[in-house]
Amino acid sequence: MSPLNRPPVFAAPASLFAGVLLFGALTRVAPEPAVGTVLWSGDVFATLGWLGVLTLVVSCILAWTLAEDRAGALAGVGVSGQLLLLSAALTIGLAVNAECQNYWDAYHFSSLAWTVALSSFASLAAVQRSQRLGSELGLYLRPVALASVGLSLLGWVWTESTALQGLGSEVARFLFLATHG
Amino acid sequence: MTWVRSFSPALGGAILVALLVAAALLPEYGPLLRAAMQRQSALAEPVETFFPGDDPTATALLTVARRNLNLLAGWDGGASPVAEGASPAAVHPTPAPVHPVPDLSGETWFLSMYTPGRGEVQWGPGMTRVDGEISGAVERLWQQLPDAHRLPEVAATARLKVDVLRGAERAIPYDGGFKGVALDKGLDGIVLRHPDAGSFYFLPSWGVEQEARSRKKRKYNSLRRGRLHRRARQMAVKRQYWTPAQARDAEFAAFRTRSWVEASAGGGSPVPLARGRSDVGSPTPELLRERIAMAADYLRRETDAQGRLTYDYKASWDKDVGGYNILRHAGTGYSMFQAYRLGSDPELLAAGQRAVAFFLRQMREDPEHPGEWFVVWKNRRAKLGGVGLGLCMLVEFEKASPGSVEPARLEGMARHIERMQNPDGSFRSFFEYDDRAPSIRKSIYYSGEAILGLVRLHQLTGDPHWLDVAVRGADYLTNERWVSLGLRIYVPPDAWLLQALEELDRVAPEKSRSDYAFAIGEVIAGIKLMDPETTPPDLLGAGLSGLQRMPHAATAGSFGEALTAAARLEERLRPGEQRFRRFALYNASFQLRHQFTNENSYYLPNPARAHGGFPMSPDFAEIRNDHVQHNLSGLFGLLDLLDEESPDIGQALAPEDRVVLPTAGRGTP
Repeated sequence: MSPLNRPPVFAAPASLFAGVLLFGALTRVAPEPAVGTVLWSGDVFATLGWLGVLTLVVSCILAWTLAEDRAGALAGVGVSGQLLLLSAALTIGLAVNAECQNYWDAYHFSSLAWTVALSSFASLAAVQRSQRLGSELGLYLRPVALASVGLSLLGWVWTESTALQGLGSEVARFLFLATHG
Repeated sequence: MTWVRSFSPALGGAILVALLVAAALLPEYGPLLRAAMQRQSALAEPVETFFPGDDPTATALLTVARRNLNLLAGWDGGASPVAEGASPAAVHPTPAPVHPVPDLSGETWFLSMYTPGRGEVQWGPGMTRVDGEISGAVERLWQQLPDAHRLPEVAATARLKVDVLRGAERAIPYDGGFKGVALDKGLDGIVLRHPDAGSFYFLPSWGVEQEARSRKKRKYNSLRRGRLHRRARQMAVKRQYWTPAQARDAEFAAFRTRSWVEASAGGGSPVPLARGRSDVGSPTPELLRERIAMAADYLRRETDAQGRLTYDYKASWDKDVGGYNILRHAGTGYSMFQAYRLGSDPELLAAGQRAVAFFLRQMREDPEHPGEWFVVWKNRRAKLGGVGLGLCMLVEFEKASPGSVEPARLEGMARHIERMQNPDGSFRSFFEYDDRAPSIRKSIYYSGEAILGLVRLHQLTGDPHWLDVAVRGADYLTNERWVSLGLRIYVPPDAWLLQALEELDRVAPEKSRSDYAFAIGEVIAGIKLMDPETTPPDLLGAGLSGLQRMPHAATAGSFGEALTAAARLEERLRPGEQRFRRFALYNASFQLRHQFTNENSYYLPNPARAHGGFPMSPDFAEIRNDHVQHNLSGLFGLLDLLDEESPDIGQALAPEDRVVLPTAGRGTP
């Protein structure tokens, strides 16, 4: 059987980057590492994110143009896109929690944010196409892909909109006053 | 699977977005929501006035109790030999006026006696319920003291406090429920009742007077809200000899009181209290001057002969716990000279001079670049912020006392800052000396401190080179820090930078920088309580805190510096607007309510030492020198805003008064 007829072949590369990113986020961003643990710098995470996006886009193009089971291959790419964006989002959360703001640059956080956003769009494109080609998995994944695009847009609006940030402050104030007399 | 096909993907996506957002926010807001819901079932009745105001019964009760106490102690009400001369906490010198014995029927009153410096710290005051004769209650309080403490001088330094029950007791869950949220620290007391042991009242103010200490870890902190009930049980065991089982099995309820305390040691008119604090009203220039002087006097007293400051004084334990931070030392010296510019107290100037000498002794000359100076505390990391605030301190010293600072040292420090600047205008946070391993850590605040130092140096010298260096740094922070790939990640609450931007705007106005200064101000105001309609009066101007502890009074100081700078900028650039001025006033009122004064230090073991200091928070009396600095400087900045006669915080010297640096105007040595 030709490798081009195996959907996992197209899903594997970006999933691999998602896995490595997640491994790094879970074990290599602690502010006070265990003795002997080598931390990864922000550059490593940013590069992993960009390589993941690049791989995802290439996989998507290959699945779109070369795959024999195009529907299955694109659905697989959609899944790997979701895994990548989830890993990148978790990395951002864990890095903030570990106060990496004191070590990383804006570039590192922005790279991961763009990894989330671009993965969500690539994943949506792959999933939409796979659904049209009759993939059952694509059908299930479509709401998930739309949700991830929606979350990316929400995140972007958050960075741009002082009104939304103000709303966040109001919620925090409301909850403080609801719990303190 | 037909339901999947008929389901709109957009709707599904929207639901998933909502669920994912909720899941992401749940760890942060879930406990708050749970607490808010649980609290609704145990809410206390609202009150018309938060601070209780004058009350004739309370006045009469305190007066009669004081008379009885003085009689019992054999003290005639004159000045105490203990307190005389040595203490800034004034002793009430005149006998109390004669009051008839008040009628207390129908109300439940408690009488407490605080005896600073006597007995075990954190034991709580002597306390008894006033049922029957007041003299009997005073007698019981007196008998609670060990024999050795029943002395006239104890009556002379003691403070009496009365509490009267307000409203009905209310049921609460055990330990106050989830995170103790059914109880408000400082507002709720807890009564324990046991059929064999009787009843024990843990008064509301004890919730902020009591603290926690871990002997093993040598750590101190405020008492967590979820531990209030447990502390009440512990105190019943320790103070009234209940068995642990009795304390555990006792019925319990929450109650509130109105309370008043004698204004000073040995007596004085009653001061109304809420949450262990008195109200101060709106900040006025007179009040600000008085409080700045008090804060400066605290710093003066806490500067030793070598110029070293007390770094961390735990006022509730009367303990100096040591530790040091040379960056904060520099900031503190800076604020001492600000206060000197206001009051010209020679003793303060002398203490500031000692602090400067101490700082200079910690400085080292860069061996690779002679003439350039950095600062290190005991071979630790060399912080850029230390030199930045050191420059602020020396410039302030020179402004306060012209001719005091060696110009070469000023320039050497500025050159070190310039050397720490990268080509893009950013700064490295730590200087690598003696082959130390480079640090990749980046401080949020050091750059702003360094820029403020350079701006202040420009005010002193008029040398445009240092203004250029400052502008390059400010432009990086404004336009590039936390901005990348089209995204602005966040705006940090950088109070030092905001001050630098305000003063830069006077000499090098630039819209992007002033906009960023306002953005920092908005971020700071966004995490504070600024609505008088919805906020408890004593928390107006406070920052948001977690469920367990009270808002930080210390942070209010640094945010006060920032908000007053934003208000000055607003006054110049947005005529007619008063948004930041209002925020600065609210913030200052919170600062002033929590500075230790005669009125609110009644519960401390050594009120005289804490006088003028600023605690970490209303429920944690940790006075660090930087808490005092931030608060003093914030009040100084507000005074600059409210009083035209007061010194300009960013005063630029006239050309004829300027200091000439060794390489003035040439940029390189």
